[in-house]
Amino acid sequence: MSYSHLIPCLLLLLSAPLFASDPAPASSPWELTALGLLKEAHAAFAELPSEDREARFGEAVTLLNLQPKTDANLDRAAALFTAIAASNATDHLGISSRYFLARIPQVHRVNPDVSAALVIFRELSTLDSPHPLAQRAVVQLALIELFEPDIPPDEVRTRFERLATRGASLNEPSAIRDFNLVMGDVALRFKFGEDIALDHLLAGERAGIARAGTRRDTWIRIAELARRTGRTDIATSYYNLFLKNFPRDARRLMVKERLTALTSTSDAAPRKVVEAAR
Amino acid sequence: MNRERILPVIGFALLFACFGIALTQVFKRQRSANNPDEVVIRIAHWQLESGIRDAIDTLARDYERLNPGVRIEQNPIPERIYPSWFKTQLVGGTAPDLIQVGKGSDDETLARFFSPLTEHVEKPNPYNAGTPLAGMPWRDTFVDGLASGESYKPNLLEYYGVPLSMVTIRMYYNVTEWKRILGDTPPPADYDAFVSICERVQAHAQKTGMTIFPIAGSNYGTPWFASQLIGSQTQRLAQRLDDNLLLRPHPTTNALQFLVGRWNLDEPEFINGLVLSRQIGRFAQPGFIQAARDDATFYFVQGRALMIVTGSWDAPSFRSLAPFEVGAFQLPMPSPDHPRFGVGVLGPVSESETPTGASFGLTRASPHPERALDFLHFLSSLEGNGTFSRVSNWLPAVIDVDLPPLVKPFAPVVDGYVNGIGIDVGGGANVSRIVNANLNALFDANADIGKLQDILRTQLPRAVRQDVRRSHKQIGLNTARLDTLLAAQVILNARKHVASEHRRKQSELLEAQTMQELARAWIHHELETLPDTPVPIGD
Repeated sequence: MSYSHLIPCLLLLLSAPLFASDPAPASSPWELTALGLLKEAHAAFAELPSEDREARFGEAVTLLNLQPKTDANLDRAAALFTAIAASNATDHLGISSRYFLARIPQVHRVNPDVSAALVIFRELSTLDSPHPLAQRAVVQLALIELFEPDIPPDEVRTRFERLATRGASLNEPSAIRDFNLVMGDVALRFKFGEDIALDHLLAGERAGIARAGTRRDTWIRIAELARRTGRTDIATSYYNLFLKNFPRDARRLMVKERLTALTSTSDAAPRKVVEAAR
Repeated sequence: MNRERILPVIGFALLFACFGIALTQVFKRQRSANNPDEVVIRIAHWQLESGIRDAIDTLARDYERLNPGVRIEQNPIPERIYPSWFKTQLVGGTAPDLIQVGKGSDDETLARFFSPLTEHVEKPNPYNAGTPLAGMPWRDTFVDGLASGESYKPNLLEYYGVPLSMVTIRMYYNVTEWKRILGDTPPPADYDAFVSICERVQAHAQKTGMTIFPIAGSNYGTPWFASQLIGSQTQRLAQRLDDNLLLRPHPTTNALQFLVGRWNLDEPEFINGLVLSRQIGRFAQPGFIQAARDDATFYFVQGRALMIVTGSWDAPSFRSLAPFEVGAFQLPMPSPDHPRFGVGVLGPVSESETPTGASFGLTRASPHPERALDFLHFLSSLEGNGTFSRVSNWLPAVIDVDLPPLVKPFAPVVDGYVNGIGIDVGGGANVSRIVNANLNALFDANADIGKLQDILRTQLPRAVRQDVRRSHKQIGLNTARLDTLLAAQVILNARKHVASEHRRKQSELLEAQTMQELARAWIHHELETLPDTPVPIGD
């Protein structure tokens, strides 16, 4: 008697659970997209009527990261975004499409084309729109223009001041926050002045920081800059905020030492203590 | 029937017997699951260390007493097969209600198979009623506020795990042998006292002919100890390099500073760290750098080494395996007033950001999600986590839990400073490979720090550059991935009936993307300024 024919049957029986259906959560295509379940989301969008602009937008944004990531997918996404923006360039979907159209050459292509992205971001930045992605275009301009390699420091400074003027008219909280966090960082890294860096970080912080990690680092930077520029009240206030809200941060002892030095001695002493600690 | 014919028959008979037993088990479980009078909650994990199963078992029985009609089944799975078991169970739809997350649980798996716990962590844990934690959001009852470990998934913007414990690294010692060799000498308070103890052990071994080394070394624990020593020596150096005013070193920033020549391996603080590392290497058994973690454990448990460096997770196992009393103390570091090794030191290193672990997620396939969530509340209540810590002798993850005496030595050091820069400049894979491949130059009998420095001087810059480029590329991939999630939140946010939750998520995504792109832009800018290192912006 040959037993060999039993083996496939046994394997089939034992592996039955592997063929069970994928229990993807039953959700709308957008909820599936928010969960990162792009294959299911893309299929769901593709089934919706072709004249449904929002579905075409969904199809396009899922194509951006659908695996395997291919040029064909990105080309198709770009075509969909272009068509959506062509029907109305300034409504919710139109602006969103233009923003992600810029993101394709900026971050999604294997060989990026930042100048192509810049053109679209500049167009979006000139819109007088409260849309978060229209205003975010200004943040993208700052990230691209200020960190462009091999440009003279004077030119960086000129761009910085021009962008600061543009950024002053932002009114969408996320855009205000992100723009000012970028500008504060740039001011610090390129040594445009600690007062300038501090003012931008304060503006960003007041717009409302969403993530705890960003918040605690920003509070530390604000307090440190304020201490170094002699704005003791701001430094004290942010050191205290940090201590109150982050009881398990490894920097607490250093912050406490700085706070003690600030509140117990003259203006000169804290600097001395901190320098000694360094 | 000859031997050749009978062997396959026996083989198939055994196979069918196993299959039959497995089927019986499945049917028993099915019958049990179909019992309308009984709710079964299954919980699976890979923590096979002694004490953990007992702790979960104790809590399960306590819960069953409180909730007649509920039965808790514990399913410990060996760590080695855990990731594949985990995937198979989830895909097959046979996953337990609660599963430990962290091995094999990438974002897609969590999103597809687990229920987000975000709305629950904002509400109080009902089992904390009548305790000092009453009324507090569940999230805030954990030592890390669920910000570390496997709890919060920043890309998914949801909480998926609830932790039961956390771990710290300590120097364990054989109390019995310690007393015999060192008398009443207390555990060392600083590095010099530690060196003195190690030298006394070596002298004792030499004098008596006994085979006992001060430290059970391995390629796991000893390099970790060495990296802590180097980090202590470079605390002030790290603060000097803190251009971003964050009061802590940042691996990629330090790597870029290394590449542009802001600091190098000849810094006196760095050399001091290497000297200390070489010294501790000489207190371990010869050839230890070839020894794995288990080899060092055997050395220690068999009494051939007085001390060993490892994590708090090993404490219960040591206590059950070792035929002697086991103690533990913090890794000894030079203090700032040390005449030679204090110059770069700020003070003891803070462990207050120790991440939590042993986190459990709730599967979507759970037939009784409310009951499973209730059991999770029970496990992580002040009382429940206290029981967990008392029975397992692991550190708790919940605040205000009284530490049992055996757990106290592992309590994280809270009043301390940020550590400095380690030998693994930037923390990338290429640098780690070079450092690990050359640890013998630091630890072998003829260790020569100058030789190690020469090797690192030659090989590190290229490796650091490769790692920074890889980091640049990785950030690019991450930020590109966020685009699709962002688009979803922008659309969902525009739907007024669900807007507030999506507004929060949209804001978090935008901020996360900004911070990533800011870091990426700076890396690109700095790499482009280095000679002969053109980096395509998409690299």
